[in-house]
Amino acid sequence: MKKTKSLSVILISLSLLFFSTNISAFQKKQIKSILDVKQDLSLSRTINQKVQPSPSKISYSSDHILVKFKSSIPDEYVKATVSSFHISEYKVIPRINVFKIKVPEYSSVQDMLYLMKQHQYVEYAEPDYVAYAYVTPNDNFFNYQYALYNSGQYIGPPGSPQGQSSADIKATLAWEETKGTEETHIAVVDSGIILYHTDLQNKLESSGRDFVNGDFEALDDEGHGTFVAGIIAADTNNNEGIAGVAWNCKLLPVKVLDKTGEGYYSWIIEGIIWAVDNEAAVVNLSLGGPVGTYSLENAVQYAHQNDVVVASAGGNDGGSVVYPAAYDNYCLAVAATDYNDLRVSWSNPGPEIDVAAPGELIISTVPTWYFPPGSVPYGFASGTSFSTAHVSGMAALILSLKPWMTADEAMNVIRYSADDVNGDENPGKDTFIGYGRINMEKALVPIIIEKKKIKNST
Amino acid sequence: MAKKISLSVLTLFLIAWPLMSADQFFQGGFSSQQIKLGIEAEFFDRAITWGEDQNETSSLQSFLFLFKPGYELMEGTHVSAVIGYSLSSFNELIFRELPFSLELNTGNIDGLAFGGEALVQIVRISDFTLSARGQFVYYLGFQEQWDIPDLAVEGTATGNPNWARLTAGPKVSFNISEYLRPYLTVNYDLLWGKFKMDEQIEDISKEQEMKIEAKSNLNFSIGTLYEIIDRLDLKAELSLLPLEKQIGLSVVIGAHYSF
Repeated sequence: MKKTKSLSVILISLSLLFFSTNISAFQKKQIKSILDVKQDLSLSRTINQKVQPSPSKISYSSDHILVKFKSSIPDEYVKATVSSFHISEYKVIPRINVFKIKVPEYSSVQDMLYLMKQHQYVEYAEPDYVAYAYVTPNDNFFNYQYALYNSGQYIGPPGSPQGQSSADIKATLAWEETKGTEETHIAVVDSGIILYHTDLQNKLESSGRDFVNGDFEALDDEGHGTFVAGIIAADTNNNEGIAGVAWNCKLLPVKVLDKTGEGYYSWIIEGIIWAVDNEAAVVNLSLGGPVGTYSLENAVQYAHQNDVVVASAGGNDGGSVVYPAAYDNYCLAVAATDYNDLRVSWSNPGPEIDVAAPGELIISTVPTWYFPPGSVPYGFASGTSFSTAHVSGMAALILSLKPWMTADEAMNVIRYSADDVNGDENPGKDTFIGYGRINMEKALVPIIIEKKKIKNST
Repeated sequence: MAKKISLSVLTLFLIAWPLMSADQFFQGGFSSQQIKLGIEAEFFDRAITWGEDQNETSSLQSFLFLFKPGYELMEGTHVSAVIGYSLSSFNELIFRELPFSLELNTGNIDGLAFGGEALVQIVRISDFTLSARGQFVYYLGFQEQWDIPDLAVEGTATGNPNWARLTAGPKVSFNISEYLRPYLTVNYDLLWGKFKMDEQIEDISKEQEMKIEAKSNLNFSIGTLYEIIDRLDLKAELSLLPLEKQIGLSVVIGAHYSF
């Protein structure tokens, strides 16, 4: 009874409160147009993180090998050597004088390599390995999306900082495995989504639900929701704008923040429940408040019980992890890293943080009215909101590929596949970036089980 | 279904034949009853299908080292048990029904192999002999456990493979000399099995059972028996399993001693 009473007091108090201004404050101040961004940046480029090579499938030609003869060996000796192996077909790659040799029918690649390597005239012999074209979308600004694929490029127009190669979420490798399905819906519980943005209009499952104005058209009059939506699932490979993490998945707009970027808990609670009831597989909560309430916890618990993955922003003021991200059992709490795989200072730490994703200077969609006429409807912004959007997109891809997964399984896959990018200073799960920066490749592409055996029993 | 029927027929045959033969044996109908002991080594590499709707293809490679105690009921007709050891490689199988998809690249998994075989002489005309032969081998792989690499936490994968192979078909052999008997066979050659993979990564615990089937069910063999000394035969056999763009193969070498 006492508990109920205190709950009522909290609820009444909260109904008088708006959300934390952390989220509302950074939007218009921090979303920058593509033209402005290079003038405002003064960011470190000197970070030195360990980069792990991506494990890829290794295969090579079964009928050719590449052989380089020592440069001191005269041509006639080389030709005689080739003939002595009964090699009927070969071609010399000019400039570097590497022989592309067809393996005779009586032999195999392994045998030929072995024999060639033993030969005194041979400098090296190697398989003709197969390289793979990673999936790279043709969207105009994809090169600015260091979060998805970081080759060490400039993260914005010339003059912008350069990222560190591989400080990304390995989206291009993961897209080889899946680009998501239209049946997988991600609810963007936020300020709504601009419904007629060319990079978003084909990605909306419906016009959504507006709990601010009480209607069924979740129009964005603030900008934050549109920005988040673009990161998650902008129209991809359409020769325009940006690529979304979840190429083929659909967005479900749910408006719970008003034009100032603030919203009552009750709107958010209703928004979460509506999203779950309308078959969202993932709920993106790029929002938060400093106070936990039973009703908000019950809402995310409801989502979790229905095997809906909830990704929630950890907060941007460097303080404690905000709610609902702090509901550890039901939400993935997301911190922010930058283009060098470093946690950014404003990203809230805490034991509830599960993973991190790039959140510094992220490019995404903005409403067409956001910038003056003539501007492109894309901008740059920073925040754990945008880190969260990457995690939601990843969750949608996981559930597209494996729709049978429980929310707990999907959340654990996201956690355990993360790269511990601050492992040198804080090995293992830590309060800053949790298990680490998300890695879509590890989560989605089959992991190759090698020979290292633990034990053998009958 | 076809596999079950074939298996049942072969099992009945293997059980019934010695009984029928024993009856004749006690009536003194056979002139060459002999105990035969054989050892054989076999390697095969054949395409298998797996995955949802069996739409993925990779290859199963296996070494078999078999001991074959048998009984020759009359010349050209015998039954044997098959007991031995096998190394089987299921590389490239991908388990996508686990939270983390796993692709096997673990090389050989050892296990036991056992079963039976029978050869029945049907007719002999001059130096040609027409027989029917059948063999059933079951491979029971030992459970193995591997690390799941590169994750933020430790994880293990535990594999339990098995496969069964049933071959049956006519065999035509020709006595070139007293010592050399080459032969040709065409076999209906079924192979099927399962690979159970269990994934344990902290709170994640899931098992996937994957069905595997041979892509081709027909093989053509050429082989020979060579009597190196009295009662000791050497055997060599090459089988090809044709497919559209690739050929599976099996190579057998062995020795059989008759008491």
